[in-house]
Amino acid sequence: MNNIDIKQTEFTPSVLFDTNSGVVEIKGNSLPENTFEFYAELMDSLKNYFENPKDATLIKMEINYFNSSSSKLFFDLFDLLDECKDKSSISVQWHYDVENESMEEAGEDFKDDFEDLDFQLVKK
Amino acid sequence: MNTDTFMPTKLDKILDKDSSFTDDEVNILIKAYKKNLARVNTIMKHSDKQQLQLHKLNKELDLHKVSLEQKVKSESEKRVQNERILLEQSRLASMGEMMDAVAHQWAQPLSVISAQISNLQIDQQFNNIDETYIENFSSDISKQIEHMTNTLNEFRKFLRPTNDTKEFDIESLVNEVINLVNDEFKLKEISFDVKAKNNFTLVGNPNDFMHIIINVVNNAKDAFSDKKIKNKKITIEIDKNEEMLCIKMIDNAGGIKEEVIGDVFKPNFTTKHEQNGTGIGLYMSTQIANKYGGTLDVVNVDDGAMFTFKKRLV
Repeated sequence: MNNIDIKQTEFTPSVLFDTNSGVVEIKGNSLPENTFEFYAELMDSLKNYFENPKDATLIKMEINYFNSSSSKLFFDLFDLLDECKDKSSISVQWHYDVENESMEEAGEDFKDDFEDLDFQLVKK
Repeated sequence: MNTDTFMPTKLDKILDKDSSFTDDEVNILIKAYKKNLARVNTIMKHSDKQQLQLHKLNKELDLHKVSLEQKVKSESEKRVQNERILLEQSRLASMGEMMDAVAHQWAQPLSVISAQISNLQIDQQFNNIDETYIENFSSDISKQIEHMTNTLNEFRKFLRPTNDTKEFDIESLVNEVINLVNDEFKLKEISFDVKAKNNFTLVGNPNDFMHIIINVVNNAKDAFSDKKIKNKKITIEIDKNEEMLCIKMIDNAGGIKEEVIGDVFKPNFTTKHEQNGTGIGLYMSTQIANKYGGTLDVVNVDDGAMFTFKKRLV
């Protein structure tokens, strides 16, 4: 299974997926022109990964700003994680800047929506 | 890629069915519908909040923009005002130096008139005065007075602030400056050598431009004053080609110390004693050069300094 290493730009986040350690990191602004296309590689890789996952999987997200379609995609991502939570011990870390009220609130909403996921809000 | 790719598997299977749904499946679909509706509301809530934040930030940015524009305007006005004050100070400083030059210019005709008057008394005693004598006397005195009047008019023209814009040729302007200061420079044994290889004209206020020449030659005069130099000379070269207009003013006064040569065009910088220098002359000269779309720079040459006014044509 291939690892993913997408570099950060002004409008898109860096996306790292180390399939050997089971760690996904998404960091930066999420405003892609075509959000679903941008995240397709990650989503497909995750689906493959969960065929034979590691004991523990960590999803680390540090988003400064995201658009509406990214919001929809994050819901889809968390749905996928929610469905696979029995296959691996999944933790989601939602990192947010203490001054970024919107990202704090978004993290809280995601956490509320996915009660069965280990969803941690991490203040920076 | 379709968003359906990311839908949960259980729902995918139900939606992919061709046959009608069972009650359980309908319940699952309704549950999924409600969940997605709640999510849409969440997404809209975030979107609205971010739009509101964007609106507030734009408003804040507008306020900063207005405040910045006001600051720039106010600073520009202050700068223009300061330039005016500096120009006035420069004019006053030049006036002081010019008064010196006027005194020297007048010394010669006054001594000629004085000598003529002395001769008049002697000639009267010896009965040498006739009609021709009076005519010659009157003509000689008139010539001297005319010379003095011309000098005075030249100085008044230079010192009077005007906004006259016209085409003027550089060689004539340089010669006018030399006429203004020549007597004083002669007394200090400083000679001028004007080489107009290719003369050219500029459009603007000639009095303004004269400041550049006067300031540079006066600086050379001051540089000569402390030193015992034989053949004190200021060479002024006027040249132009297809790309550039150029005036070089070269003295043999020993040059400017390398550690200060980069500062000579800064305002309030002077190497002269306080009573001699204001530190404004060369600064104002660069400002005037810039006004004409040119530059004024200085380098040390063999045995002196060379100030160059340059204006690029292309």
